[in-house]
Amino acid sequence: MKNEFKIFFSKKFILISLVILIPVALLSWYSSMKVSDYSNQDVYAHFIEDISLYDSQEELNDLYQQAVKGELQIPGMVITQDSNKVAFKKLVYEFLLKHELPYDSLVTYSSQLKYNQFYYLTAFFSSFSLIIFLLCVFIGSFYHTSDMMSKMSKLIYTSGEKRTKIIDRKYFISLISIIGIVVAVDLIMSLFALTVSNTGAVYLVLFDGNNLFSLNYFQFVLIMLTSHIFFVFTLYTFVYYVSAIIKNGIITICSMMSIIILLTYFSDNLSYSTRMLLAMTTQGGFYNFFGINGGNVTDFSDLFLMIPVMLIPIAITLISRPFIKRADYSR
Amino acid sequence: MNVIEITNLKKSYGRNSVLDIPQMSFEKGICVGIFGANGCGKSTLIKCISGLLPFDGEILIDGIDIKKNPSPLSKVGVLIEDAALFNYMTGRENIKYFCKDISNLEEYADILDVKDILDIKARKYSLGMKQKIAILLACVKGSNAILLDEPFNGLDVISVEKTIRLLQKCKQNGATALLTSHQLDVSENVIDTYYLLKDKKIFNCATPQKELGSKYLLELFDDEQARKVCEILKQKGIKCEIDGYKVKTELNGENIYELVAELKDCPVKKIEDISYSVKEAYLNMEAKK
Repeated sequence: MKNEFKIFFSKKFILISLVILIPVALLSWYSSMKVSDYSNQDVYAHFIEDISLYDSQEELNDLYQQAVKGELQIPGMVITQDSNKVAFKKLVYEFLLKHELPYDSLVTYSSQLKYNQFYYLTAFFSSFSLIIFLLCVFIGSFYHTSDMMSKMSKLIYTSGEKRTKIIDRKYFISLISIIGIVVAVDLIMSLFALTVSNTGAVYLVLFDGNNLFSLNYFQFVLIMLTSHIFFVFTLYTFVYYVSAIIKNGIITICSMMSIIILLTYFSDNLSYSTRMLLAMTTQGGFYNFFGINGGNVTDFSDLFLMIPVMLIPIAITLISRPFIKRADYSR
Repeated sequence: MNVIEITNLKKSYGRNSVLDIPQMSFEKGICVGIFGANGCGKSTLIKCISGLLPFDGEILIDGIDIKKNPSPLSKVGVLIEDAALFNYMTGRENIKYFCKDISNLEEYADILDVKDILDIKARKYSLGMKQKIAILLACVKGSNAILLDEPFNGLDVISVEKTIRLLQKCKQNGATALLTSHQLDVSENVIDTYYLLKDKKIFNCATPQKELGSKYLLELFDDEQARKVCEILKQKGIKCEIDGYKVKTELNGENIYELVAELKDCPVKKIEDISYSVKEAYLNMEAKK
């Protein structure tokens, strides 16, 4: 196992990928965040829309009563985006009252640059997802096929072990290594976000149309990390075993990029579910379901799209078996 | 006991059938030379036995079908075409990575005279050094069998000699070596039996001498005696040629010394073996078959 990790990190193209891509990601992120000047902005205007500014718990209680009245004053109304907003406002005021929180404690999910640690981290995670995508596609395309390019396959596949076992072990080692790097960078940036941008926002809230869900910063980081791990697992598994079938890293990488570009270009014509599925596989994982789909509503049923997203790479892994068994590893 | 047994081996590249071998086996502790024209399938045969190429048929190593269970390949050393090593490891580390049992490493390294380069990173090796370490790796790993495809590429004359000595040592230790090489004359000293690969089939040629006969040059004392000896040999149905006081003769299984003993009136001054070299034998066999 130790030797396998050594072999992984000895591959020039992997070291070059890591050395170039990660600092580029961090530098570009730092540059984009640095130029944001919040001093001239009314930071209070950037919190939850439709929630009025208040200075005391008494004012908050008045706002809550108004929100309740607003809901009651329109009985039997047709459920619309507006009615979602009313319900949302009521639940937010209720939450703020219950936990005795000041105005700027709550934020909703958004990747727009705004002045708090949740948004800071969301923006980083979104752009880092592109780097992860490139890493997975690049390493997944070439890690297995590099043995054939370097002619080491003639020694590796005559070692007396089953071919599928050799390939699976290489996959496992490389997957663990990539996940380790991604988690390390994410954790470092999570701590960094907290130190540079903590405005006192305590919870990120999500509204499914009926209920309000809250995540503190730690829970938010955990979900984003899990999403990235899920993303790496599904994308890397798919690309790795496709390259095991095709046995050509360049064709694999070109095919992957072509498919992604085509799907992205024609995404407007795709159904919502397909677009969400595409986002989960190419843009950082399942956290994309946080994205608000009309009004303030988050559709938690989108999480079920994780199932087909996971099934596709598992299917490719199984399909690759007969190809691996009949492959020519002598060239 | 046969280390390698091949049954109904068929291999095609697309529609092009390359190998069609009904039966073939190799005993323990021998060195087999496989030769044939370019593109006849020598490398393909080696690659099938080493498990790198899928094939139809059955190949048993130590009685185990390698298609179902490739574990016997852990004791089969392989060198196919260009030598390949992990560049960031030393020669020794490469060998330790691929070989479970390295008890013969020091002895074999001594024979091949590579001890001084074993602990240098592979990226610093020249072509010849890489080839030698790759041969060493194959021999250390191949306690059962060693498959070498053009092992002498990039080696100087002395290194070739040392490789031959190493293969002889491996044979003594019970390994079976399969060798393909265009340098037939060089490998003559270590090869016990030859196989010719032609038209997808394989022919056991034993040794070229057995296949094509032996040639001798008999030196007599004068021209007259040379003519007498030649007449006697022709009467026995043996081909011969006079060259001054020397007689060139070709035998097919007859014993030269018994023949000379019969030439009482024509004492022979000197007998020189000028039998077919492997190269000549191959060229003759190519023409014949």
